[in-house]
Amino acid sequence: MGSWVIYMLFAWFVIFAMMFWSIGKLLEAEKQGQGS
Amino acid sequence: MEQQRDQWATKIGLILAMAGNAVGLGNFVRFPTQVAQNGGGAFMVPYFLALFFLGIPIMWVEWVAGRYGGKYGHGTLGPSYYLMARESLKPRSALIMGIISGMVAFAGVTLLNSYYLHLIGWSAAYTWFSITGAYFGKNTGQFFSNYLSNHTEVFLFWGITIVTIAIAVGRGVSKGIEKWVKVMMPLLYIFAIIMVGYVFVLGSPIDPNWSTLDGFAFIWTPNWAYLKAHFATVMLAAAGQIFFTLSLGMGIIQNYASYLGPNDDVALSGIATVSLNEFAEVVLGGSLAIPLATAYAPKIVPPDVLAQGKNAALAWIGHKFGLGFAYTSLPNVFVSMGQIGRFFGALWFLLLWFAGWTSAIAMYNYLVALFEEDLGIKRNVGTWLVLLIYFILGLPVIYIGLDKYVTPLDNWISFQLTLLALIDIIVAVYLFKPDNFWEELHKGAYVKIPTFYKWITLIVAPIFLLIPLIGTFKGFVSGGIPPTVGAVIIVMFIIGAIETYFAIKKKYGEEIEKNEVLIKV
Repeated sequence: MGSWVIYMLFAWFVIFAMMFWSIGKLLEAEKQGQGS
Repeated sequence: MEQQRDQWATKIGLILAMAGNAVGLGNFVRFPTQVAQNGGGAFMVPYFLALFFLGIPIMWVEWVAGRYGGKYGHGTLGPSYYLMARESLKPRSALIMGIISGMVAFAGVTLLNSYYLHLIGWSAAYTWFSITGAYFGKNTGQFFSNYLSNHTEVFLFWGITIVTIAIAVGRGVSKGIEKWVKVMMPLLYIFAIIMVGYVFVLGSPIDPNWSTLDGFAFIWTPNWAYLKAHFATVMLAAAGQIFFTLSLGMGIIQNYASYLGPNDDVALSGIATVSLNEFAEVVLGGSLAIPLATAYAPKIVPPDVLAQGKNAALAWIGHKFGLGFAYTSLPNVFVSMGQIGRFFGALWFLLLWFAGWTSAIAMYNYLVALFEEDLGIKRNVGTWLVLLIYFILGLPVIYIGLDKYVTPLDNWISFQLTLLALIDIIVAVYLFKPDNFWEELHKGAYVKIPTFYKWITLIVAPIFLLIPLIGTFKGFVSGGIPPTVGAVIIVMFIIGAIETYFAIKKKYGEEIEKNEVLIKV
């Protein structure tokens, strides 16, 4: 396997990180009833 | 003059609705086609740049614009952008900006749906073909071509799709559909994850030199030489795909966001919807059709093209079958499962059909709302009017076909979505005034957005948008668009402009006449 595996895993990692961070933070904020 | 409209009960409800809307054929059908047509790893570099420098900021711009318009009772682009442009321009000049925005959005949604609804119809057809085992034991590329040349069959499955959508919209059964979405969309995600696992271990099902892993290598190995040789085209394709998949550049996001409360978060919600969609697109959509097309290429691609290597073989499938790319590669995986593959194939294409169908309902609803809200046309009349537009626009897809109609129109859609994204920045950021935009973005925000993103939105994004727009415009006007496609585009622009003009004039006619602001916001 070539270096493409590293590129792919890196891209996946960034997307997972963005997804879990944003949804987690949104749920947390929703729970605390902020913002609205 | 703030107006009270229906609002989303919870932010998570809105996010799930938008994620459900975003997940669909853009991820599993259009994305792999674009990757194959644009040099694999050559496409992924500008794709990720477009995601961070265009997708995220434009998503914020459209959420802000939608929420702002909703505050004054507008869910459509023309009147909202008229109001925003009026912050810097006199009413008559603002009217021009409103008309341009509304015109491009209207043409975008209608033109996009003219072939998007066909892709949904193809999914319905492949559900049936899986049940009957019609493509089992056949060359799936040839099978797809034969299907498209059988106009009666294509008409039937497309007809079923648009009529059921019209009925669902006309009867206002969106609540009932939401219950199905809650079951079907997680099922699509789970099924796709299992399929990705299967694709990784599938290896080389028919020829040891052609493996699914080679398909992953095609996507994830940066191809600088190809990118350099086709710079503007690949940039436009990447930006267009980001906008298509995130439903940006067509007025849909603004319409959703117009139902937000004036102090509801848009900053974090924007990132959440982008990341959910990117998971479906890059992680799931990117791991299915292309690896499968690579592994089964010896079955689909002519020997002389195969001899040129994997990149050439995938480019050949991408150009020969266009948006049919996924329909020529995915069925093979179900064939490899034996008879049980009929069940899984039917389930997969049914889920895909449903994902597309629900997205199409959202866009259909937008057009009906546009006629209702802007022009006072009754909902049931609007429903039939949209059906008529879709019907007329969908006919050339069947009778003119993939090469001469769908592919050039789809390429134009990339251009048009990118164009509206530029208009978004001009109107909703520059004319609305950058400080107003930044302040609006942070109203009720759950996160503080780093200031450098303001500069990305103001400087980097417009340059990023202008490069492919300028670089490809000449190609479009000097024969890149067949005359029939060009004529349809012009007609939709004219209808869009007229519709938007009356929509704005209906509410702001007097101040446009006097060319001074009478209705304060």
